Amino acid sequence: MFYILLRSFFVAFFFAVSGCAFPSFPPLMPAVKDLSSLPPGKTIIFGKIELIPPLSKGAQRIKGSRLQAYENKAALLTSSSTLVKANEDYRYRLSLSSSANQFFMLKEPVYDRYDKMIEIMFGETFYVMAEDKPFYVVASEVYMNDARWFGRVFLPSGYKVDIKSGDEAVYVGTIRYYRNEFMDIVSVDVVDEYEAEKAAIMVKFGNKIRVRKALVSAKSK
Amino acid sequence: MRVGRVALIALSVLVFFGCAVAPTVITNSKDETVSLVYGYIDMSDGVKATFLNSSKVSYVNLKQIDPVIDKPVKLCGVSNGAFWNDRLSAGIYQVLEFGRYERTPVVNITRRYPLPEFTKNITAFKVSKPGLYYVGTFKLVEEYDEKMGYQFTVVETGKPREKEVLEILLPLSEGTKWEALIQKRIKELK
Repeated sequence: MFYILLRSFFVAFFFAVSGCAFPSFPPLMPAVKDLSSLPPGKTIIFGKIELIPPLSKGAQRIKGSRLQAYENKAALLTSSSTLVKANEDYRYRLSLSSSANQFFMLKEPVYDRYDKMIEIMFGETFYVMAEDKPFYVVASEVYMNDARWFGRVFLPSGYKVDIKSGDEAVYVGTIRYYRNEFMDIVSVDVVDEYEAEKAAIMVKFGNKIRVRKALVSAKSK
Repeated sequence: MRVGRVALIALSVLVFFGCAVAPTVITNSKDETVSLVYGYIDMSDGVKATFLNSSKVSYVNLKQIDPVIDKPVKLCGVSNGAFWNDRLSAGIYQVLEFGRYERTPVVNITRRYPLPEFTKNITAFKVSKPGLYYVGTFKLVEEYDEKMGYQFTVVETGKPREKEVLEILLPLSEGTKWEALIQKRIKELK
């Protein structure tokens, strides 16, 4: 009876001190559907990110979690400052499972230093709306494990997206990340597919759109 | 060779209902394609920040890296620092986590040492045709850093040698198909 009471005390105590799960992501840079949704002072960023070989089915164990929407996607974390560096640390805190019978250490990423997040489906051309001024992709992450025991892979980043005032659409290139079985990124290429992508954006948004090429320079670590 | 440092959980996990229990003997499998994989982890340096009474490793989890499967985590048997898995099919694996848990009347205390999961770590190995595979002998090195708290690395050491690891496993394999293979390997190592 004593032990039951003691356990109940622990449950009540830790339930009281443990907060809600999972921190907030930075605000999302929205996808652009058509030019009418592009207000003045905004620019379309477009390009592609590829992971070679692609993720195998089941490699990301994120089903049923808040990260499920990130299947086969990269999350790019941006900042307007060159001083911001990628934060690969985690913070740990004790939390209580929903069934209220088990405590566990919650492993959380720390996102408070980033301005925006861009969600990009691997292998598909993305079109997102940014301010018409330069920014830095500080970190790029692939979510591998669910929110309880957070696991992510970092794609080498730290590059500038060189937007100039008045740009309507800026092509940043196709960033190809080559990986091994363990998910180590072994090399990175930036491929220029400007002509094909320019033709595609003109089909999508009309041939009056002003497009400029500003390839990024993502490098291996 | 050193593994990159990994932040250690500051406080042991408190679990009110038990963990999966590691096997204590080596077993036979009907599947003729599987291998017996074994190694050793010296955790004697790993009690500095815990309430644990012993420093012997009590669980080791492997992760199957390739081919990708639904349940890639494989629980190993443990005995006196040695660990093994007698049902590994061909593929690439590495240690995902090891540690120690102890039961007390009120809580189970677990000390966890998760290794980098999405990068090749020091314990990575490949299983091809069925047989015996020695992963290596590893030592946990735990250090206290004023800013970061407890940190650990895992290093590969020569002691105990493979033969001594096999001598731990031999009595646990009695009556299995692995017994003769272990004896043969011990002779080869003399």
